[in-house]
Amino acid sequence: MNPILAATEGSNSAIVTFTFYIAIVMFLAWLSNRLAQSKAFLSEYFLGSRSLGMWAFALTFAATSASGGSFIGFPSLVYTHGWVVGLWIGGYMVVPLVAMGLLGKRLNQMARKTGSITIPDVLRDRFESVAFGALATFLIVFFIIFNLIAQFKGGSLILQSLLDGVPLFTQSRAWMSDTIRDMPFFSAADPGYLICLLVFSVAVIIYTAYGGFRAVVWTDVMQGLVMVGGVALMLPLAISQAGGLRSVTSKMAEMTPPKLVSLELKLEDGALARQRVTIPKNSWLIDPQENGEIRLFRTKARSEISTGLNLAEWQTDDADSHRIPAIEITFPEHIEQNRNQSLDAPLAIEVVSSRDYASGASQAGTYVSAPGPHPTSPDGFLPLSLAVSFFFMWTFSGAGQPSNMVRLMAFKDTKTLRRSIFTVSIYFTIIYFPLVLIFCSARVLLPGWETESDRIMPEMARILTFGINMPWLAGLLVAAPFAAVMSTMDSFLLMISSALVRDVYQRNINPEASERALKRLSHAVTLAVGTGAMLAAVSPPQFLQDIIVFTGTGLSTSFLVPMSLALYWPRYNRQGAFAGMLGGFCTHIALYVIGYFLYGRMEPFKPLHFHPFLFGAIVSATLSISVSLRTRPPSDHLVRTFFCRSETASQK
Amino acid sequence: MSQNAPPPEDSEPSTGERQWDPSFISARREAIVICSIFALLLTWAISISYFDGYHYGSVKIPTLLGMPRWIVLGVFVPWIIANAITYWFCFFYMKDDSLLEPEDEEDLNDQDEDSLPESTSENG
Repeated sequence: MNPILAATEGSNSAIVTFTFYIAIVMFLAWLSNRLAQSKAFLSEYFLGSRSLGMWAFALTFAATSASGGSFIGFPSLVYTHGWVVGLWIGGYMVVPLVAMGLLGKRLNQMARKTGSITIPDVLRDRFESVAFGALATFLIVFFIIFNLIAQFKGGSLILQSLLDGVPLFTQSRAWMSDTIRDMPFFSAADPGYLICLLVFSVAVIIYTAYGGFRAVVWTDVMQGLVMVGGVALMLPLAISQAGGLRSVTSKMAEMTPPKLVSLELKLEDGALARQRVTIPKNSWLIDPQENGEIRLFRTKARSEISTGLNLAEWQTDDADSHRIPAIEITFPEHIEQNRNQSLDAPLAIEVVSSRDYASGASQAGTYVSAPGPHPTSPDGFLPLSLAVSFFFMWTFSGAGQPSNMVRLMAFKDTKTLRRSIFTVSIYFTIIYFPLVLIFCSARVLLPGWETESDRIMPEMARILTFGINMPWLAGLLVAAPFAAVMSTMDSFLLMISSALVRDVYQRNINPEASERALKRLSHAVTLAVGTGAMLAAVSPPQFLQDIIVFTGTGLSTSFLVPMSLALYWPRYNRQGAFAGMLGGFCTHIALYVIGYFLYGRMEPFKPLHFHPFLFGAIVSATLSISVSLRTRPPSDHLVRTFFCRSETASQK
Repeated sequence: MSQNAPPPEDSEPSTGERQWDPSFISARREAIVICSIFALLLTWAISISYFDGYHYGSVKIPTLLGMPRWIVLGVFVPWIIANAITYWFCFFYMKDDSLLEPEDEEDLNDQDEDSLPESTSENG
């Protein structure tokens, strides 16, 4: 049997791995809940009683930073654009130092001084402004809700990819299909996706709601170890099966990008289909030419020829549903490698349209040099200005994420902070650079996945473990992206919950609420928010990765400068903070709105190819400083509280 | 913020009355060093990659350790060096400051005072 086809077959071992994994997560949540019984509820539930030690702090920080993007979007980018993605992610070499070291000590200290539990808490107390705290709460909830929905969808897609072909899952899908057929809201959804969404979401919601911050941290630790374990297993397998790194690079140097084509697929000789003919997504199609050469295509969408018809069509909102999107392989070695996998069906293929990559087309060497190939941008994947922007963005955007900031409030002492920065630094080194090596090898092992590059990670897991006759190991490898999504989702879920319970309810509506009431409310809100996000993910918005990027950079452009200046500049006042936060937010939104009108999709306008984050941060800093200097300084007691030694200490 | 309080005249705390928290001073100094390290590594990675990686587009690209040379020198090597610098920063430069409430850390503050001359110079 062809190894690639065989490797895509599922087995129940994936379900066993997944079930075992979830069982451990639930056990950690139970343990965490038991521990929380003896502690002050809100501080424990939302901040782990500020007592995180080195491993817990380092791994929760690292795991939260590494979202689903690290194991889905990032591998997809390496696969699609080649070695240049190493430079794209290069900023991670300083992320731990900047994201943890820049704000960590001061933020933790300030939060302890005021007894703050959330980021809006800190900002509200620093500026003595209820309105500013409310603005911070609003922005966190606004961005994170969108992100949460996208993460729910991402996690479900990963699980679906893991379980595809597994007998039990196939049976469940058929059952779900029957069940939802007459249910208005659910009937349009893919039943397989729905099962995965349900299982995945319920698991995350329960352990987060039940165990709180400590459960999230402990599961992050486990998930962090799973991620690094997955990479450590994949790296030697990928490089050895691809024939060594030197071979990978030399083959990539010869590769040329595929063409983007639309095909009309008809039954040969005008025959009509006696029964429905299905042409699956990612099908290879071979078209022999009169001169003896062959053309090899791979479909990007599932299509069908209905009974009594001759022409295939696919589900699309576009007018012409007969133009099946596909790629045409242009690299002769890949054509030779995959021609035998062509779909065995009597189809006549007509190329209706064909388009080259906008950058790197027919250009050998494009996968091993910068700026790298790109299907739509003539400037390539990573023009120099964008490389600079991403170096800035990864580091400072990481520092400006409220989900990271919350963790900076939870470590127990500066010794823990110092050790954790170095630990995370090593952690990112052994995650990100090896991922570049692994998915460059994927270009050699699994050509043609430009059709659905987001699936390259699970496909690699399957092919690599099949190569060593250990297909059960695929479940463990695919657990890495799964862990990455879970560790981000649980943190975001808890952030929204804390924003609503602490910042909205306790600090503004009912400051006298009893601990018991807050406990019930926290559990209920976490459950409600999680359930709401799950329902929204039944019919999620498109552009999953775009939404994650939009919300991530939106949060950092809004929070980075105000928080940094709040910690380090005594002269920074409430007016400056308002101007800075709103300035960053509005710039971010404006660049996306302009981009939408220019490109017709969710993509920001990038003046001179610089990333929108840079513009947002510059506007935020300019407004923060200029408005602060033009308005009254903060009160004396505020400066003393946050920047000076206490009176008693001074007198001594 | 209390709006009844008379507005301070300028951005700096009045000399002689306020003493900067030593941990604020050390954190600020560390933040400046962190930004400098970032600038150094950014310059290294971008300049090497630009001069060695952006002008090929041919099969014969120089390699090192089985990878394109520009990736090794422009990303891999600075990444390793970044880890070394991070080690130095965390274990030889960054100061252990107390994170406790000021009232609880009076004694610790007194111990820190000798090692933080900036705190007194800023107070005039």
